[in-house]
Amino acid sequence: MNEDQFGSRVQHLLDEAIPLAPNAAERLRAAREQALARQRAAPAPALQWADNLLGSLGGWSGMSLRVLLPLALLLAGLIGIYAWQQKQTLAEIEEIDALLLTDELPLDAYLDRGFQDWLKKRGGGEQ
Amino acid sequence: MNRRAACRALLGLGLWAMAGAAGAQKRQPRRYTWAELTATQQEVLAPLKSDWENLPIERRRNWVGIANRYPKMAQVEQERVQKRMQRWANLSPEQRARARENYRRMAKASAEKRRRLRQQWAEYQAQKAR
Repeated sequence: MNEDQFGSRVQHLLDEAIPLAPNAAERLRAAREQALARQRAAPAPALQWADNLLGSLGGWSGMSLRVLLPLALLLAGLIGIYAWQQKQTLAEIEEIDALLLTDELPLDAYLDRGFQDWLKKRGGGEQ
Repeated sequence: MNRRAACRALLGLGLWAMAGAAGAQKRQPRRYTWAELTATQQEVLAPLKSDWENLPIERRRNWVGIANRYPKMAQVEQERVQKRMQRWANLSPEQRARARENYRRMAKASAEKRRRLRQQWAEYQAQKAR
């Protein structure tokens, strides 16, 4: 007889409400208490894992200090870099526009695809 | 409790840094309207006046930057700027981007090649006219 079969047999007997000897009832109650206590001590694995992680980081207040703060600083840094890059790009465009507007060659020399191709062909790869 | 206070202070500092970085971008509320420009800037950018308010703000800022460089340019360069300004402003963003790209590439060439470029342009023009 395996465990399941034994279980269902016990269940059947219990369902039949067979009167138990008082000491047997007492022992059953104690066993039940013990089983419940053991179950309470072992939370779900995922919860346990999260709890351990949080504990190692120093609880909720430690969490904000060690995780949220560097995250906030990282974000601030990224925003700063992005803003700086935008500014650099705009400055570079302004620089080139000023050079184009004052260059010896007319704008058409830089706009004319034909000239660019002609130069490439003529340069024979030296361009 | 001490640790909690320190944590809050640091978090506050982090948020402040973030706000500062975000604010840096918005610190320029200037819209570069024609009326906002100085008399000198208006004089230099006169060819663009009629279309000024239709230009996107970043283009206006770009032109203001060029107007600020203008006084330092040689006279011949100033004349070129005046002559080319309208054409440049009326090009599509793609055309301008292509011209900049070509300029970057050609500017990398040696001084000797850059000198020859002028002659080559004249040659190309002559060939095309034929």
